[in-house]
Amino acid sequence: MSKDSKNNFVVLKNICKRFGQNTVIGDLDLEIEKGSLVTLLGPSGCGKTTVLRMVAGLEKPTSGQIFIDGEDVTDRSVQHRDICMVFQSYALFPHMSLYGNVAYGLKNLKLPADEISQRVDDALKLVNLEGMGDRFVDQISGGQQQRVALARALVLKPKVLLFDEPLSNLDANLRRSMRETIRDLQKRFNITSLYVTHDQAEAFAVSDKVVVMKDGDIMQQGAPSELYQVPDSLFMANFMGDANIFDGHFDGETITINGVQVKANQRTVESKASGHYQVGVRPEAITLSHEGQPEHICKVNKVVYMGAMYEVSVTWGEHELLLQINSTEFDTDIKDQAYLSVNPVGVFLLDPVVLSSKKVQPELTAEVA
Amino acid sequence: MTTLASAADGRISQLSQTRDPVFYWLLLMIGAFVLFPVFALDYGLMESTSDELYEAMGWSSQNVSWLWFGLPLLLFLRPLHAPARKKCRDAKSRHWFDIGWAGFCVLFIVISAWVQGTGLGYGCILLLLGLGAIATLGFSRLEFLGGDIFIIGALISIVTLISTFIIFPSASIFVPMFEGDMGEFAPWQFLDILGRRQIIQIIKNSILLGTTVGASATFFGLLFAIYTTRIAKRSAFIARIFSILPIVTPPFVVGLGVTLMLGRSGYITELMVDLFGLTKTNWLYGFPGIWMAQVLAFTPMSFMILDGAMKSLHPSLEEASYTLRANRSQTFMKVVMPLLKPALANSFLIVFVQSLADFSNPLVLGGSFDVLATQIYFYIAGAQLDYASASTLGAVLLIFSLAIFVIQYMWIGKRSYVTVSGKAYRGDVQPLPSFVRTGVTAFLYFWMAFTLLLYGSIVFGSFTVNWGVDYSLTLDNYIRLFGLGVTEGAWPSLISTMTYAGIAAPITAIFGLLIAYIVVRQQFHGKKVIEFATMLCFAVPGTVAGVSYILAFNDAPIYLTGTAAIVVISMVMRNVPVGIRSGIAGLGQLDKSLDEASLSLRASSFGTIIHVLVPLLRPAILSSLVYSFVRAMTTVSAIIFLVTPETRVATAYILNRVEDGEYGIAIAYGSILIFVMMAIILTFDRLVGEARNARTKAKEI
Ligand SMILES: Nc1ncnc2c1ncn2[C@@H]1O[C@H](COP(=O)(O)OP(=O)(O)O)[C@@H](O)[C@H]1O
Ligand SMILES: [Mg+2]
Repeated sequence: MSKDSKNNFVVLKNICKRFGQNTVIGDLDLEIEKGSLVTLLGPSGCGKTTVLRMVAGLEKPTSGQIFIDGEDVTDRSVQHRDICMVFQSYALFPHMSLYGNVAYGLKNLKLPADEISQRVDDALKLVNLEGMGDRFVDQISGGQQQRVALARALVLKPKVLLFDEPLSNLDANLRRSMRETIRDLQKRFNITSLYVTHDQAEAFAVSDKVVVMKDGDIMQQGAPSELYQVPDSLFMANFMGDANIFDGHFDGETITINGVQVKANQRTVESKASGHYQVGVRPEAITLSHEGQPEHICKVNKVVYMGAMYEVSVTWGEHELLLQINSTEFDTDIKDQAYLSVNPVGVFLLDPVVLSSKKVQPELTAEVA
Repeated sequence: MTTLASAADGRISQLSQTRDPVFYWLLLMIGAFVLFPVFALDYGLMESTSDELYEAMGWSSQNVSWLWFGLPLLLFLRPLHAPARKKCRDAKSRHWFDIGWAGFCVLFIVISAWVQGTGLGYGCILLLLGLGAIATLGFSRLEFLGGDIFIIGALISIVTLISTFIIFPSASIFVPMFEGDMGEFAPWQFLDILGRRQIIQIIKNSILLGTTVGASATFFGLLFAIYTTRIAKRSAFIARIFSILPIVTPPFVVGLGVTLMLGRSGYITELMVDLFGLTKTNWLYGFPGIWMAQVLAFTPMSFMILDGAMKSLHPSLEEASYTLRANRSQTFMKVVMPLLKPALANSFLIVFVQSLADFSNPLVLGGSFDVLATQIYFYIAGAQLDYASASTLGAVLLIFSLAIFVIQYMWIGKRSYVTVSGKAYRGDVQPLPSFVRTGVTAFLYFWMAFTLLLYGSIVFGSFTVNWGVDYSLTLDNYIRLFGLGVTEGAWPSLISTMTYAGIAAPITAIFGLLIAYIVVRQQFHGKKVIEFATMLCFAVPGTVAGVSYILAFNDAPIYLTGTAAIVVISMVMRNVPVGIRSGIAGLGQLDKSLDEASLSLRASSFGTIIHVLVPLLRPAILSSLVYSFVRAMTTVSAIIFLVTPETRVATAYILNRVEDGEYGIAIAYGSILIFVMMAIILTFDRLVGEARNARTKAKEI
């Protein structure tokens, strides 16, 4: 196998998808490395499922090509693509036992009976359901159903495994353990996977690479930490979490906002030229204390207790800022006035700002972005 | 993983190594030519003499069939192996050629058979099957519908069957209209026919009847719907009765029952004569009688439509209206009625069409009040044998029905096909004013009492010597029907009915499910056309269907008149909508991701249907089996044109008794049918219920 096809195990090239007059995917390119898990993340209705279904062969792209393992599969039907899919609704067959569900695909491949039963047992064991093969789907819990769906897909050892919001029907606790199970198994068997979710935490927890989509376009893709720490647009900055936006200046080493100098982090230093920028600061990167420099002074407007943290809104110069401060670190004596300090890790540069327009309207920048 | 991948590769390369299946289909054609008669046999395969059989063989003489079978064999000129599934220009154009050539051959066969006046025989069925298969292969290799052979084959079969058995006959009803007595072209003849006073009167009668019955049935249906949704808490049984009664009641029975009560010598009439000195004892025959029988017959249909519509009205709408200071009557007129308007219109139109197509009630109760459906029958079954007039009236009836169907489709019915399983909200709605409650309830009781009396009279009447004259009890009617051995009385017709309905029902269910599957689950260009054409099944009135079948299949190229096949085909085609509807309703409740999961687990679409959909749709399939069986047993309007003494079915037998004035025997047969069909339906309900219970119990363990 050439190195090239390893890096681009699944390739979507110039994919466009229209339903009637409605263009859902404009022109999309995507590559998935062999053995990695890539997540499509985006608000609901942005076309994630559509992309996934095109990879599966359940939907035909209006134009463009799809390659799996170097082969053009664009015209190949779902049975012949060597993919498996875990559906949002699990889509377990209610008239079959768990064993029947897991064995279904193997039977379609006309494998010998003893091999089938061996592989089904192994697969059920893998997802901790050994000995439950005789049960029916409505006799097991939601989490177990989810695991059956996973076993049913894994047992075929597909080239590509597809997940469409697999955890959305589970409650919060179960979601956490299930996503770990999925990630573990995916890594253990080194299965190339495409995963769809609208939940950022879930995406970050399971993915090697996250692809953020909006209205059928890819906004940015990269490792989770990269997306959070260096979002490349205002949309991304806000989508990945809250962000306080300033106009600032970057001189190659430090960033100046509101007259305060913050050391730029490594990623910024490596990727950006000096100049004037829109600067984003994550709310958790700002802390408050009782003393500091005069340019750090700010007015505390409101403190809201959220459990794990306090949300504090302050006015700093002409900026309204949102702060999130860990409950264990917040000094509850802080009232009215405080001094803020900024942690460089949570500071990132967005678009360059043209000097002449000293004060850029937020709406305007949003439009430009 | 690599082994799996290479296995897949192996599969693909193996595919390209196998012999192209087109060869096998061509061999099948040769076999058909050698072994089967390619021309129609006048007396069927069993009854023909060996000479006739020899004559019908294509190879017995020099004739056109050498060409029929020879032309497709041109396709032997091809590479031995099937092409790999790759986009290759060359292969592509050959697939197109295959399809085109198959299409051309079909056209050639049909047209040359028609021109020569020869009927197609069994051999040709295989020939056409082979050509269809070749076209299917071609389309599949062109990756139409994902290259799924099963879906493409099903689609081609559906299109062929619908064109042959619905569109072609419906078109051929227009032919005799333009043919004079000597078969010459007479373009203006139909105007003469339509200009006749009698015909104008008949059309007027039909429209008058249809409108009044449509309006009355809708009104009564609305009353009952108000009762079940707004007055009675436990009224499911009303819906149940209303849904079963019309299905299990054979034609003529309601008409005869009304006669028993209100006819010249009916007991209510006699009571009136005694009590009030009523002199006009003949009032029933004509418009009033037909009106009454049809209202009785069609109100349940309206009720079902309006009941569904009222249940889907959310009570909060009315409550909102009350909070906005509207009183009850304002709310009813300004909120409820406008929301019900589509359902009311739908009900009116459906009943109107049913009334136009109804044949049995006017025949029994019409007196001198002729309507389109009966007149068409008289033209063909009577001594007149006037095909031109029958065809003209049939065309009028067909055009009426189609026009109404189109109105419905465009205006209301966008969703009427895909059964809307509206959630039934039944919160506590504001109670109705008491006089409305009393009025509606009283009316409902009156109706129930009348229905009870009606069916009671039917059963009782079947045990009397001579209704109105001699009320003494006797088993005579039943003995004459069933007591004279299996070759006498009702037995032959009962057995053929059961046989034909038994053959037709599974075909109907499968065909309906297939159409439903393709309409609901597949996406392709022209789906709307298929959908529309199948809906046409609903729209062609039975009488027209019957006439059109004899006109279409009495002549080359397709010769079916007088056979049992045409009876079965007509039963299937009349009832396919039942299968489609239950298929669509069933599929609508199955998440599409189940199919997709099955496909993604390497099952073919056929495998998906067999292993996933059929088991899950079992109740829907069973119900369409049962209902199409029962409906096939009671069908009359199309069948009466198609049966012969040998293929006579129960309804035709009853019709003959009615025509002979042997009402006692007719209602005795009718009562038996009611009981048989009731038993079938109740048993079925029981079985489905038990299956459901067993499953829930199994789950609990
Ligand atoms: N079969 C379809 N027909 C028409 N429109 C569709 C179909 N499937 C999806 N869409 C449209 O495509 C858009 C994207 O849908 P989807 O891919 O399901 O979004 P997501 O999974 O990101 O929530 C939606 O606006 C939806 O209405
Ligand atoms: Mg989705």
